[in-house]
Amino acid sequence: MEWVVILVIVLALLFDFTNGFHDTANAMATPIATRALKPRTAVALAAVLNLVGAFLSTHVALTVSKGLINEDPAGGGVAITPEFIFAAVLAAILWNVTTWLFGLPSSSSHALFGGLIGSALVGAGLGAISWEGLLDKVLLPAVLAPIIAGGTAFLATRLVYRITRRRDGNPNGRGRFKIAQIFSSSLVALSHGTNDAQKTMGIITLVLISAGAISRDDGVPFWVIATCALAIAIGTYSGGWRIIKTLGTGITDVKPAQGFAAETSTAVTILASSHLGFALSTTQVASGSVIGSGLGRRGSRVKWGTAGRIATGWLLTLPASAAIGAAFAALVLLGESGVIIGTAVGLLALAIMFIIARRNRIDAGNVMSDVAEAAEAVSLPVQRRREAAAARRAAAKAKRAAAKAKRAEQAKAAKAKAKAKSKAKAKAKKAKPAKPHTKTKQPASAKQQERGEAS
Amino acid sequence: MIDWSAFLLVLVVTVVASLAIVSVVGLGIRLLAVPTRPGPVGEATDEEEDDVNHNGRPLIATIFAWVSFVAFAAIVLYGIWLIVPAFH
Repeated sequence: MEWVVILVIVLALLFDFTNGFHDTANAMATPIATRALKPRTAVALAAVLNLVGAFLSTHVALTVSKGLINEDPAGGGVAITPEFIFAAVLAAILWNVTTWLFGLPSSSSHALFGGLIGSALVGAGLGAISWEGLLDKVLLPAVLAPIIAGGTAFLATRLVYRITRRRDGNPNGRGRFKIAQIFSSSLVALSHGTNDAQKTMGIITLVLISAGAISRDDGVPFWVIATCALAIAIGTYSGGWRIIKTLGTGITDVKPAQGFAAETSTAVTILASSHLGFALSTTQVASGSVIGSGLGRRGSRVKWGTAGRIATGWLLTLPASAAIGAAFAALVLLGESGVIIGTAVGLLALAIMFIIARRNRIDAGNVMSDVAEAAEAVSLPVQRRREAAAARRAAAKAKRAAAKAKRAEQAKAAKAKAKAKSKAKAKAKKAKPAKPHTKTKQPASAKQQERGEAS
Repeated sequence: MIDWSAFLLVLVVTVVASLAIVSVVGLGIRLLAVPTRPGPVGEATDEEEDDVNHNGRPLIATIFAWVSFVAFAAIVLYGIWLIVPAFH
């Protein structure tokens, strides 16, 4: 029994580490891109603020430890044993690494909750899960928070451009928002600590309650807060190298003023939600803000294809990790040997995925942060003009080619007539019929080109 | 029972606080961009491809710009004070 608890704590801290690792870019990519901060400084700042943020509040941790799994009808703890929490955390880690490998946008938080739901369903049945708590504190915030953040970012971007606009042609000094961005991204890092670090604290507290080490009414033990804060801070610091790579591949077209508006909306949304114990996905909130602020700039519009792909990744996470959680829980039903097999399977899968990741490090699309990807879902006027011009050029080319082909066709017909009239004349023109043939092909290739650019 | 008022609270707090922060910072930055006399514009261009003008700005604009930045700091600190139970 005891060793399973320790195993869960270790796994949960590992999960916390990957969470920080995964999300550094969300906060610090923009100030590095605009050169407001040096990469090392930015990453260190994010790590420290995550650490501080983790200590600020425990509302979300209590949601996880108390709000999701029902009380054990037999009395005392919760209606789930440490073994099933083990299955849940393992599923979350595996899903996280898989999505990272394939460059799918996903939420670490949803992976954790999905794993927990799947595992609890197999381990203790429908009655173990507090469906109301799940809906109220996890599912609804998951849907609403990105929308709130996006709407706010839209308004904030509009407002910030209106305030700083000048009509007399003098410089408007919007470049100074770079400095403001240092503060707004710091707030995002802080809010990340108040929400994401809490989830791991909640899981560790849940396993302690489940093992009977502490009672359900106790708060989060201090050593749990401290270790989770450290784990997420170290993860954030290690994630720094990934950010530098992200910037090497070119960051999206986010201007300082716009970035400031987006980051402010993200930070405020997360802080307000954390205070009410809503366990939301910080990545999704940040993505919502980036899309909202992109739309707030003049003449922009959503690329629904890209936005849809991101949304699919979001929707997939909960059921997929629930399925993995359920599978591991079924394994755990075998008893202690199940836990050992599960650990082995998990470690093996992780090792395989890391080897694959090493092999095609650049192709996997894992260098881009999810939030940077969200920015791709908005197309801006400049970009659109460029695309439209390309499409027009391609269309004109196709038209010209078609006209040429038509002329050639007519010439061919005329030639055929001439051929009937005089064999000697036809002989002289024999070289020409080959021409229309090559030219009729051109419109097709031009069309293909156009299609390629449109997609 | 779903607590819709909690969501409403998040919505209101987010919109009000974000717009307040963005307004004061935007105002401060706009005030810093107030030029007094026409003159050569600095060689440096910023991220938005604008030239940065350092040809002196009225003292009052500088003062109010800094008042705006202090207001920004005050909003942020108040927000953090609100959410940390240890301060209550």
